[in-house]
Amino acid sequence: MMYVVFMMSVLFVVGFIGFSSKPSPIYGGLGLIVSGGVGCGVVVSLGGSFLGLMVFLVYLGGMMVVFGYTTAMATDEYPETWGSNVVVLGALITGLLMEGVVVVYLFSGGGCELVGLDLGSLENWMVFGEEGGEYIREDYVGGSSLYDRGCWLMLMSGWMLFISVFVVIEITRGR
Amino acid sequence: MPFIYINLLLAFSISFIGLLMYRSHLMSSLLCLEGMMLSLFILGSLLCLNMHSTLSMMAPMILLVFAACEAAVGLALLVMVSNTYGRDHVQNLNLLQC
Amino acid sequence: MNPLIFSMILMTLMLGTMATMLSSNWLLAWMGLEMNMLAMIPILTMNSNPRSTEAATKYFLAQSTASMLLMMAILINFMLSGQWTITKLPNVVTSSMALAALMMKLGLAPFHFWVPEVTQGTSLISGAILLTWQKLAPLSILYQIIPSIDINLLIISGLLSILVGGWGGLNQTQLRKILAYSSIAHMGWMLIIMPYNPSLTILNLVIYILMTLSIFMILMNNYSTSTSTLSLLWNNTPMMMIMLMITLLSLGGLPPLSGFMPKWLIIYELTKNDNIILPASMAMFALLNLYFYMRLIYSSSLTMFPSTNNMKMKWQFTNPKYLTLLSPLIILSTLILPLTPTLSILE
Repeated sequence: MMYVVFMMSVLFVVGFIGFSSKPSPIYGGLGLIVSGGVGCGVVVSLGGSFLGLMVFLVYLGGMMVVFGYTTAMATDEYPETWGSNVVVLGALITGLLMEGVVVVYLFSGGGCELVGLDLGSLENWMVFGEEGGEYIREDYVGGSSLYDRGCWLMLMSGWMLFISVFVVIEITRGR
Repeated sequence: MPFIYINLLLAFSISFIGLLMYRSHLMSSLLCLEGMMLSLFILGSLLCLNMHSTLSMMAPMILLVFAACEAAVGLALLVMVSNTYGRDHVQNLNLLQC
Repeated sequence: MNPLIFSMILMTLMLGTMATMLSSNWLLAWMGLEMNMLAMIPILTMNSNPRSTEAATKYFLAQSTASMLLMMAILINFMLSGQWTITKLPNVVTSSMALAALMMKLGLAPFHFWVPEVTQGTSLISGAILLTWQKLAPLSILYQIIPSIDINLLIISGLLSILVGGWGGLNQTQLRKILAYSSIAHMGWMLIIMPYNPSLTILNLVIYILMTLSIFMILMNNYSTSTSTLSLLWNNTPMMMIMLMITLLSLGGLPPLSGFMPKWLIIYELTKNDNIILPASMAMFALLNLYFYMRLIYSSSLTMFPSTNNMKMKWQFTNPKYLTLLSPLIILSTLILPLTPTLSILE
């Protein structure tokens, strides 16, 4: 299981190399989608099912629609893939080599924990209450404490979302 | 430091370098910005899960909210740039160079 | 812009700065910086034209990259120390990343390229906000983490930005670019004195804000954005020309004016700490700044600038503005050098 999670994080980095070598935005968006999905998998398999769900929904459900729309608006006639340009190909190969060196170095070094979390145990369950026996998932509690302890944080975030609508309108309105 | 953090830091720095590259579309730069935000989110949530610091779980969610705001504003700027210049290449943004 | 929306955006701008300055939590400080940045974008694009769009795009890219870098520093700090409180950063990687991010936000030397371009692309009032109010929030975070930052890095960057701020402005004829370069140079002075005596940073910031605001207001008063239109100021309002001359000399830091006070105290503090070469080179690099201020003064008040006849008739078709705050700002930015001995109370 640990190796699966580690391989998922390697795939995450590969997706990042895919869009950071700056091909045409269509393929870049593909790389970001792959990375988002795999990152969601990493978070979920380390015990943060709520946070994973949220990044999945927000990234793949919300942002990707907007990104897809904008990509369709600002697209090329002949989109650049990773193989069609020397610079993109060079950046891709350099990034993959770098990641490969890191993986080989990590596996040859040894002695260090791979993911840093003991999977399969109940460590991600938090004991709550005095008499024991009550378990609460801690990322649910952390998320929902936004309504309680972090209500001012939530108010500021909500205010910022509210304002960003006006910001977007004011930018694109023109005159 | 667990290996997975090294991978996440590597992902962050790769997309940071990708953002600093002065070529191609503005859209690709915005994608790199989103990628930085994604790696920050994953790193933050993994840190909170590993440390069992429950109240810190709020931080990645707030990060995501601000990422959404930034993406919206960045896309609005992209729309304005491609309306005024016709293309959205970063090399076109040279009206103000000294 | 609709006044209601404009007031909401201005409120968010101030709320962001206040949240950053008042919070002791890294997350809240970061949120404040982000709110500040997002609210600044529509202020930059108030006059919608290609130049302001480009300026807003460049501002957005630079500032959001800096935000991400700062968040990365915060998360690494959280990984190493397990806390979100703004205290001493224990690791050199964290503190250097935070310093780089804040320098990118402030426009200090290796990351200064966006400042003149963004300032040139916007209107005068947005430029005034950009060069004064936007410095407060990152500088307050830097003020809190300054004991953990490597002093050599800080001094090299500050010296470089004084040099760049002097050097870059030499070839400019656009007033907003000149003011942006002078902002870079002043930021360098503030950065260098910060590990030695942070109160002098605040003093320098306050006086810099007063001087920059009064110069921007004089420029707003007669709609001039380049040297050639500024040189017709004597035709329009002769007293304003003299005020501009004195304020520019004060910005350059000449003795009987109040701009001399922070430079004097900074050099005094540095020599008290046995730095001799550093303040000497800082003072010499500031001469470059003084040179292009003097060139502005020369072309606006000491010479009859060659111009066509219809340029001189500018007063016929612009309505005069009456800016209430202009005269107190000019008085404050030129005449408060005699108040220097009272600063000893603040220590």
